[in-house]
Amino acid sequence: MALLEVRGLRKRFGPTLALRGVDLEVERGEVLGLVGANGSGKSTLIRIVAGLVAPDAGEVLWEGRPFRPRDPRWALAQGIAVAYQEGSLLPLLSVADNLRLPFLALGRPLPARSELQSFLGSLGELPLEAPAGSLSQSQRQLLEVAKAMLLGPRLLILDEPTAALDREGVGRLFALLRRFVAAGGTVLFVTHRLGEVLELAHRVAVLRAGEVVGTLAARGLRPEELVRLMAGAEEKEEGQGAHEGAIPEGQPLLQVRGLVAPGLKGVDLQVAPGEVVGLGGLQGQGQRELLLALYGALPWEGEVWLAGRSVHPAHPGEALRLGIAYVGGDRAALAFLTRSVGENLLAASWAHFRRGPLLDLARAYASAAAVAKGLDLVYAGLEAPMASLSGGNQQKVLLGRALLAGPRLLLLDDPAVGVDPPTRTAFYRRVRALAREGLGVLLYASDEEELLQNAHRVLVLAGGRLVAELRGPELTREGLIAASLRAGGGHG
Amino acid sequence: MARVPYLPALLLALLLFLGNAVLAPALLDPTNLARFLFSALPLALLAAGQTLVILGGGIDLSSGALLTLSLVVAATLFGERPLLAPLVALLVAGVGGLVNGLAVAYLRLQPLVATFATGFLFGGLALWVLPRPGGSVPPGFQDLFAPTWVPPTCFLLLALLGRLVARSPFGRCLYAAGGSPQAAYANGVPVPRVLLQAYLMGGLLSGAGGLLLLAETGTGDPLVGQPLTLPAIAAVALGGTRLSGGAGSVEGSLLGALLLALFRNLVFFLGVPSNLQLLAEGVVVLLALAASNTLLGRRLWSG
Repeated sequence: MALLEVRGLRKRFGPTLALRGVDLEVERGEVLGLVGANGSGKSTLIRIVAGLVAPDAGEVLWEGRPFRPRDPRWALAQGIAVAYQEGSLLPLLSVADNLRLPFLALGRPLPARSELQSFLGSLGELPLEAPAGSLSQSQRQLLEVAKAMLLGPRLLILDEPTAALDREGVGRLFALLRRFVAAGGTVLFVTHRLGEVLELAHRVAVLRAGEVVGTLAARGLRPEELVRLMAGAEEKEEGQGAHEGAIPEGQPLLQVRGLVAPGLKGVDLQVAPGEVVGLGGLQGQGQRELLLALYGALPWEGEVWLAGRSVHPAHPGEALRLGIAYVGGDRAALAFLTRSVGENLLAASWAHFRRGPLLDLARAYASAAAVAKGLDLVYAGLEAPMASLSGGNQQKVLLGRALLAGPRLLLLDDPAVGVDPPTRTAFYRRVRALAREGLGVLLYASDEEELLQNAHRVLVLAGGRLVAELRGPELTREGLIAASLRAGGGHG
Repeated sequence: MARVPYLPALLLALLLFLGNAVLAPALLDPTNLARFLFSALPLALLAAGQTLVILGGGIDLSSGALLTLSLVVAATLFGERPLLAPLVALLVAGVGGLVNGLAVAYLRLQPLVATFATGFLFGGLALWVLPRPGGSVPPGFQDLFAPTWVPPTCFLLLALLGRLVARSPFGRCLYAAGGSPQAAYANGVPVPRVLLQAYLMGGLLSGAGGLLLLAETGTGDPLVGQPLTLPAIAAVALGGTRLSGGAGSVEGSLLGALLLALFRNLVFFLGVPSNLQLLAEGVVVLLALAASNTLLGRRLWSG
């Protein structure tokens, strides 16, 4: 008898049919991988099993008995714990209090501090007393996983647990998961990283458009087969290698000298028009701070020239007026989820659509629609709420928002985190096309493949300084890893 | 600094206390100090109750009216049933808190509007119970609060209550529910029940505030509590509690209430014309909020 069995699960959200009859079995003691493009229904499936969402039809069997979790508390009490991709942490509470919260809610005895400490030690560095809101994205992700595992669940569901982790973090997490499974635990592992799912899982189930289109043994399976199943039609991830094209010459669009900011100790760099410059290195070496400083969201000192003019954006509004736009991967912070797609697209550019004292809404929405079309956005219309879009499409909306502001320089801050491979490919295809039209792009991505495939050259940061520049034939995975580690010191 | 968000309130309260000590030294006399603290207690109780509600992400615009209702109920009953009167008053206040909690947590009404409406409900009931000032208070009840050690002890007990709440499972769940109800729910927190409990405790504290105000004034007044609602909310904000919920403390709100009371005392002793007192109070609240924001280094967006 399977530990968890799902039969004919259906769920509709407004006009979207998220699940159209899902059947799935999770056996005791296995790691079942679950892959699928964004919008294929993975999150909805998890949310139903976790009790966050009620299905329209179908049933869930827990140890062979019908089970309809009425709320998350009930599922937790049964031993089903979910490490969500985002959104289940309390930003104002400390790491320790976040870890203790489910115990409190269930009325179980609280784990002692020492227990928390030793458990976290096996995952990575997390300061127990820091508020969760002050953690980096990768630390938040570790905390989500730690919180779920600490409960000692019988079924552990992981939603994209590695999206913001570096290699080292992934290694530690996998070691912990293997021990969990060896001790009799069961894992449902949802991810976009196909290499990782094949490494860890016993079997892999593929969701497409709200249905399971195949469940395969992981041994001997190749990622290409999974991609084919996910996409339905033949769709290969584009390894175009932007660096193989000619590196644009001419006057730099952006020139930075001696930039000092929290986390940055003096950075010099240049970006030419049409150039995509990657920021690499281990996580948290100042890449994000560099982008935020240039966007005026962090206080900074130093010299910055944009198209030959000395500029000093002190806040994002000023940066936007200067032609510097920012696209981040933290959708929870940047998207207005309850507002419409149209408003989200136009959020940074209303000023361009003034007519006298009012706004020319017809022109604004026409522009928004044109941008949405250029991005191949999958959506029900400009009036649809942002929350109805899949994560990948929300990310495209954020890119569209930046484009509507008419930028000369685009700052991309891990813009495709948690986005499925086909949508990611489309996203970067658009970014490269924009670069060909003369935009300068500074790109930080936690996945080094994204850097290698899309950047003309990569600047490696360590401890808030530039330590290496890779271009042309040096732009390989090995070269990037070696340069990040050679800097030393920063990792541990 | 960020770990003790009520530090600015503490500094300002000390500053105002020094100001009082210099300009109105009569306050330093133990009897006067006790009387001063006693007069500040109703506001402090309202602020403490308001803190619990605000920590949970809500707001209670009815707390002053509920204080009035409990006060007039007690004043009306004290003549016939001196022992039962305070209990019934607290019971009525508890029911009022439950009504607020049900409306907000279970009927999902917007707290601002829902408690605005229940405020009129409670205020209307108070006028129905006691249409014009009157009622009586047995001297024994007033004597309870006469010893100089009682008012400071009440403050300490309230602070202790705040501490206990913050450390209890209920309190931890309340902070979580106020910080992000969705995330709290996903962690198994019974969000509606926690909010209901917060409104219930808020109601009971408002009721207790009514009893103390009655003991102080010695007579029932059906309109006495409503003007205290917004100062209590100001006290909560001054005490470093986030008005959007999830962070703050009852202790901070008590300091905020003391701060407001100290300022009133000072203004009164300086002989500021009464028509300028409100103006001065508004300016001071704004300055105090600005100072604490600056001290705490709050920013719009830090990336």
